[in-house]
Amino acid sequence: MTDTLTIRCFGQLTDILGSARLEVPITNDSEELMHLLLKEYPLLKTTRFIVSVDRKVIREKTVLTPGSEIALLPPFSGG
Amino acid sequence: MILQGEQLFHQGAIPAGKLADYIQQWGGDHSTGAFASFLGQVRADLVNNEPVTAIEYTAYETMAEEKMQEIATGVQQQYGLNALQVKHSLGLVRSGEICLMVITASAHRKAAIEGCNELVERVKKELPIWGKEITGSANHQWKINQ
Repeated sequence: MTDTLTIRCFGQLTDILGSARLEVPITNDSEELMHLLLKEYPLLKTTRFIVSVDRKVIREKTVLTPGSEIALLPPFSGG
Repeated sequence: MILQGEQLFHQGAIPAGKLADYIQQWGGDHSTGAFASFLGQVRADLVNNEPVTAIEYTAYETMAEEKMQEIATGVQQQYGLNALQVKHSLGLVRSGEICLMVITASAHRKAAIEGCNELVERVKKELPIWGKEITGSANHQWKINQ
């Protein structure tokens, strides 16, 4: 069992954070995770993004496990 | 005939000839009376008075593929399409090159045209893809969809 969560970042977030992956200690749910991320990476407050867990956008508090695939997604700009 | 196991993503610019290939391939279905298509091309917008020379596309590929399947199934059922295909570029696409191709086939024109339009709108709005607009002086800004 790993005790960290790996979070993938995309688009302009890779410029803002200087990395496509963040590692943070595991949290119980997505609300705790956001609280931790905004504290550890205050630059995240400067841009808009949504969160996905296991490749689905989440809108509500979601339980996380060590295997959860978490990503921070800035506004999409395909096409 | 939805996506037929083909990948959503195409590395670099999409050759215009691909459109003809699909029409040729799907023409064998004689219940089809209409094809509709949309091709998106990288436009040389001005960014800080410099023209965009290319867009570099990145994506959350696994999520985009899953979402595309969901969208394709929904649109196919809603409009009763005989076939549809969506291709989107990854990596560098220069101004004047094609970055998005959407094709639909149906019995009548209305379903083909409206289904094609809905696919384009949903691809731009719902797929986790990002475009970085690159200008001549090696500067860039992240594209914003209107």
